[in-house]
Amino acid sequence: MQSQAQRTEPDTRHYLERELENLVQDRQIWHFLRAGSLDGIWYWDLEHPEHEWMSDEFWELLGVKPGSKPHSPLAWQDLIHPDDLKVATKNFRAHCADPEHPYDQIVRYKHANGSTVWVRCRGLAIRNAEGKPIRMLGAHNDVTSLKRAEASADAEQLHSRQTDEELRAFAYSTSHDLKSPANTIRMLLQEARLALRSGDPADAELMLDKAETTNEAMRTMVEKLLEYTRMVGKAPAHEPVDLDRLMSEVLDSIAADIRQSDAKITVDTFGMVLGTDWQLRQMLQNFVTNAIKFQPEDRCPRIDIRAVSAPPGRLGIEIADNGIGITLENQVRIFDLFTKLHRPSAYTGSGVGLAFCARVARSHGSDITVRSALGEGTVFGIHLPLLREAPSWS
Amino acid sequence: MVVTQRNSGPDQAYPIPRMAIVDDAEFDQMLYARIIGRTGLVGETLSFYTAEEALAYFEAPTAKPVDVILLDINMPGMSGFDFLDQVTSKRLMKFAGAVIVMLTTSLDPNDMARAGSYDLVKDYINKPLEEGHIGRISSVLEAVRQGAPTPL
Repeated sequence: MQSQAQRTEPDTRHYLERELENLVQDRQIWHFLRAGSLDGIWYWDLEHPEHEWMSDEFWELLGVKPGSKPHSPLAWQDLIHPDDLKVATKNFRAHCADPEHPYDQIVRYKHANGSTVWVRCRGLAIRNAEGKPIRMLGAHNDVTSLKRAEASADAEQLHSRQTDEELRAFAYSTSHDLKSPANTIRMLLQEARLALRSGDPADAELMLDKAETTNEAMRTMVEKLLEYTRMVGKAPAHEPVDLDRLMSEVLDSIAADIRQSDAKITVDTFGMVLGTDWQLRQMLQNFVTNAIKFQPEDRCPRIDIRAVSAPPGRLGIEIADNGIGITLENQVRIFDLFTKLHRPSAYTGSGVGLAFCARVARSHGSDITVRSALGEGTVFGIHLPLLREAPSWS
Repeated sequence: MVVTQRNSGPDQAYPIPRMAIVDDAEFDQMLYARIIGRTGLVGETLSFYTAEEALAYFEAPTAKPVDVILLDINMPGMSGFDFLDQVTSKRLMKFAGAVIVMLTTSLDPNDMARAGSYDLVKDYINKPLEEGHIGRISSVLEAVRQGAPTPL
């Protein structure tokens, strides 16, 4: 018999391990239990509390070489989270006093690599004939992956709740801002009908013209909204982007506006960033078209797109204009969806552009900063992740 | 501000002698003038395109008192609620006796509840404005003058 053969060798094992093994009798079953169902076993001599035997699995779970620590409670007391040690001690006392009170808690240990190991720790006091606890048998289960899954599920839920909230707010403001031109068109058509009935086709024509204009504005708004929607709830998938090429393409695409407004634009050299091409393109275009649009009537737009200092690993960009400027209190509001600061006859807009920019910035890990003086101009600032060399694994 | 005077009779003959409208939408203002004109219920309308403009007008000592203010909520710059806050905190006494009616596209029940929290606001109308609304406003004005209950 195998157990017979082993018994001939000198048994150097800890007395508590031997005693424990006798409790379980069959060694094979004992090892199966130890390795197969538990992530650590401890057996504590309550009459000599400095003696506590811990299984190899117990130490392996914490990244500690088995055998390198003494079989004593002192060996693990520095590794358990102090708050959790308090809970465990409290439960230990209660369980000793009353067997009905379970010794069962989830505690945090510090792994040798610094990470946290979550362990469910249960124990049973073994009592003598008088009912006095003389030993304690404990079992550990590693629940770290469960805890991690729980934390990520919580984060997921929070994110989904935020997305829901955002979607609701979005739907609300969208319905409001689309209903508004729809109302105007309805009234205009009504006026056109009345004009026709009263034999005034010229007036009817005028009303229909205005209906057409309103409809066009509504169409533009729907397009902008679609663009904005493409951003919502999407994890960024960034790629290397040549910002200089992108910048010159953006300026080409609005060349007609630039010519018409006689805008003077200077652009620094930027290099490569990590980002989403179409988002950055649309964001920069929004910034530049805003800078052209929000100008006093008699002034030629001057726009400087410059590279500025930024946190490490980031590329700072500023878009500075000499436009009408934004008051301090409005500098926050402008990034809300559908916020328009001006009546349509002064400056047209859908109220979506800067909300879109803020989203793009956020998906690239940046806020948008605003510096502005009324009548003098505005400077928008963002920073983007610089493209780094691909890491080599060799 | 654009003043539209209707000369078909002395002001006092109109159920609503003078009405101010605060709304940023240009086409809408033009349409309101036509709709209101057809009802024959309003003597004179003062059209303001921003709440700031309206506030400045009513703060001035030369401001003529109005009977009704039709007030939009969502406007660029100062909102309808900002306007109400200013009017309330500055105790613009010109408004004593004036009825404020919210005129809005807002579908938000919170907006309606908030509007109801101002003593000055007596009714809440969802756009688009129709001729029937002017009749309704005229009844509200009548009710206020007689101390009878109003929709808000």
